[in-house]
Amino acid sequence: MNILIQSLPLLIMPAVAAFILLIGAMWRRISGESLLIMAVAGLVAALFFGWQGFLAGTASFPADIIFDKIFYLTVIIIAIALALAMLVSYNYLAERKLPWPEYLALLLFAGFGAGLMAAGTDFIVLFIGLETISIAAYVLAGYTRDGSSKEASIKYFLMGAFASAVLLFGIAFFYGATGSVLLSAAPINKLLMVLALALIISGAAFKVAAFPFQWWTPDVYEGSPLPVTAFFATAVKAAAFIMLFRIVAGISGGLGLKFESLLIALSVATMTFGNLAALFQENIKRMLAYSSIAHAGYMLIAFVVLGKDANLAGAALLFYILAYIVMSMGAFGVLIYLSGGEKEFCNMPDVAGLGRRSPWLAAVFGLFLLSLAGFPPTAGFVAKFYLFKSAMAHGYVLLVIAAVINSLISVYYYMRPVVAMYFGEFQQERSLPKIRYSVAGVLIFCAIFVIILGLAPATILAILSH
Amino acid sequence: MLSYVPVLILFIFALLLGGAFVFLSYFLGRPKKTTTKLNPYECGVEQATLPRIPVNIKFFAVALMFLLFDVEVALLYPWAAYFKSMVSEGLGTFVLIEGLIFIGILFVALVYIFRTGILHWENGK
Amino acid sequence: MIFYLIAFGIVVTAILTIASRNSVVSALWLVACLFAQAILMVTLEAHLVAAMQVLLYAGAIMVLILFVIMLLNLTPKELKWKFIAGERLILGSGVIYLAGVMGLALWIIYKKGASFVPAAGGGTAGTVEAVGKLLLTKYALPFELVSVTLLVAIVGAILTGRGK
Repeated sequence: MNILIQSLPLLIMPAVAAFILLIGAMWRRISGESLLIMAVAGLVAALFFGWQGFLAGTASFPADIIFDKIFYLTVIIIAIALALAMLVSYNYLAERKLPWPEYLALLLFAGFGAGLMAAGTDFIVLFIGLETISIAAYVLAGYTRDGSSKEASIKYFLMGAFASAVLLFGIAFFYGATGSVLLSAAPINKLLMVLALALIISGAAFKVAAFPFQWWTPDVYEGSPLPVTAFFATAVKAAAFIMLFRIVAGISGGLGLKFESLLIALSVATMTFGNLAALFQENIKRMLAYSSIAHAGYMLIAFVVLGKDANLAGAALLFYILAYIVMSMGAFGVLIYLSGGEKEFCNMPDVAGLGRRSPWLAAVFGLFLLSLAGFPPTAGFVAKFYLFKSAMAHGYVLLVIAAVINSLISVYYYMRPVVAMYFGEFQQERSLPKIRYSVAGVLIFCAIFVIILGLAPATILAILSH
Repeated sequence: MLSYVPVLILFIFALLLGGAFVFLSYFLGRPKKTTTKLNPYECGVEQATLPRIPVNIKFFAVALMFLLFDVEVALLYPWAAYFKSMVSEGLGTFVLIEGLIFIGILFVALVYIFRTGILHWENGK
Repeated sequence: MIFYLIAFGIVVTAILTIASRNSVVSALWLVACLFAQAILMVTLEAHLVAAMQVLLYAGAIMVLILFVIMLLNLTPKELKWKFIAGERLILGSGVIYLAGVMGLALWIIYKKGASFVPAAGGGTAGTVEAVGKLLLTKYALPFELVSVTLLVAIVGAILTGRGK
């Protein structure tokens, strides 16, 4: 019985999803608003039970799953990200008359998959969680069914299926090397283990969009519907990083093998590629996609530290993920606010002159971009500072220097939309849409969160460093 | 390995039977087959359209559903086959509940499929 | 000996699959190839996997492939020998891959001292009964979780197959 209560935050998401799916299919005339409220209520309940579980402490389930603090924190973060992604898509879906029940159900199932990726202690559970979130993501990428959306869906599906196969191949070799699928299993055959690790890290690197496997990201992010892109950049990315964290933390426990230098190379290459490629993008959505690659590079620093100090690395990574979720959700939220009923307006000229037409919107967009670039009073700065400091503390000076140089490069492209907003002339007459309350609410929430995390990070850091 | 001998015998018989029919018809039937004779018959007029037309996308959805439920059945196969021996080991209740949860979750999918009306061919929705 | 026989069968049917012009014939050769793989699995004592291979791959997935062939409505004439862009790159990476796999296999054979983990329980580990019991007891949790993944896949299949 105790186990059931402990796993409530995980179980509540698919239960609500199945309920929404059925009620949406049974009773066609139910409005999107009521389904949305149900889904968000489910997520709030998951958040609440997650917090309760966090306070209660670790509970281990027979063999395959562990409910520790990292799991509960991940569930809380994922629930926040999903709730924001749902609220932010209200106008977008309503104006395009897209079906609600499947959308909400897929997002909730994705949350379930993310929870499994955070809770699994063996590769089978991790892989099932990964497949659940991936299948939901492939379908959501093609949700609007226009040309670019379908293209994004197919590209994501083919590439993702290939990466899953590579990961699975690695898991098979892992089983061959250790005779067990448990993450902590000690290898009997070192040679096979190297092969297994190479394949597993390649597969996982694809999912987090790390350097040699990041080519799918810009196309998929650009082609998918805006709210879905926001979901990819926040919840999916967070889940993939938590899974990688579990794998690296689990494997390095039972293994004398060092792959620190590999992670450093991966990290530097990823952030450099992301920042350089983002420099001259004209489409803001695509630019944010490259920026998400760059941020993935920063987050990989935490994995380098992981070998030295797991607690510090975990706290830095979770804080970075939380900060990245609120700021990129906010940035995508502004684009969603601007998008029309038929078209999305994501090009540089589309935001030109926004500073005069709607100063508040321009101000929050500027805030999110500054935070993404890592300017002082924001969440992005504290997250980067904390991460770099933890790397510094263990003597990775060159890595930190590379990361700081990269942050400087990134300022250029984050400032381009800001310059366009305040100093550019708007080129076509396009009236701003009516006030979109749900998106506005999300923007206000994200903006406040960005500032709170930037000014008073101590409480949240204290919670995360457990 | 020995338990696969019946499968092998079945295969050999199937091959023999199929081969025999083709062989017989080759010898007993009239062997004159020309290109003209093999053309689809269309009232003596030259063939105007290709006989192959694209099928409805709905067939594909049905095939996908068949595949997914086939996976379910394949996973349930050991559950059904070894239920009795599990009961004798005292795991009966556990395994029964386990299988029922599995089926229950996929029952949601079945209800969803019926209610979305993707199996309704005529109304096009 | 029996391994080489089966492996030869797999290779030949695989080549016939990609070499035949008529896509339906190609699909039928693929069935033969998958079946040969199932036989290989039986010789490796992986009985449940072999049964699933026949049930799912040679059965359900082939149905799917045939439907796709019918949907796309490909006539044999349209399938011509074409050179795709970056052909040398693909050829080169294929050669590197093959060399890598072969090299690794030879390396492992050479280093034979590196021990493989023997299957627990000897020859009976892969029977349907043994694997099925493991699936229902030790791996009960993943067994349940797979049903959620299947549910998501079904919802996705309906969404994509609904047409518009």
